[in-house]
Amino acid sequence: MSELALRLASWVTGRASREPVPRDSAEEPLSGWRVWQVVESKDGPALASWWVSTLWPARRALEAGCGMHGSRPAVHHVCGIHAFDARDEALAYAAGRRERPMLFARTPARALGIAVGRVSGWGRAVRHTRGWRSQYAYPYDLYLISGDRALARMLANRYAVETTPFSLS
Amino acid sequence: MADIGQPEREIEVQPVEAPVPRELPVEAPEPAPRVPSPQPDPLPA
Repeated sequence: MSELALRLASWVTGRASREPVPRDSAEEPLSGWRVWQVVESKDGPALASWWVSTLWPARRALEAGCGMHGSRPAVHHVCGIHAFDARDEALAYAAGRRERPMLFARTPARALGIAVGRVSGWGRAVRHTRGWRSQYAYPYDLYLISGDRALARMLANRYAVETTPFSLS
Repeated sequence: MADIGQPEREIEVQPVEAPVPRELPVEAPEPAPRVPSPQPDPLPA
């Protein structure tokens, strides 16, 4: 079976089809990079996951949810809250998939802004070669790629994290 | 789904305190500029 077929099979079944991985424990939260859309919500501007219609709650952790594994991500599945090790990979993820139509996806063009930032992850986590998936996550800081100072101020007040208007050029 | 590579290990991350801020960190206010004290009146001769 090809590598892609193996990955698809494990994704569909959610079963561990590979060798077990080592287990570890830590006290320091994981740190990674994500890109969010900033969307209007009933409580004002909110962070939304790029392609999944998940709104990030303010001042409390986002908890993962999987129909097969609950909130604790399984090793050989895709569940959990994802983050990249490198900022550029997070940006490429958002940029590379903008043109593809996806069911239930928000349209970035309708977002109030776009934010990139570091995110903390904790609880059960799975370390990958270029990032991680975790049970809980919360933004650590935010940089607005699009959006003005007023939007940055509203996000900072809502999520209680530093939010900076930012230009990639 | 985000391609974050192959799984390497499971980690149980239990921070002492969840990294969820309750309030925006407040920067220390800048010290007020010192106002020069008025020169004392010269003593009468």
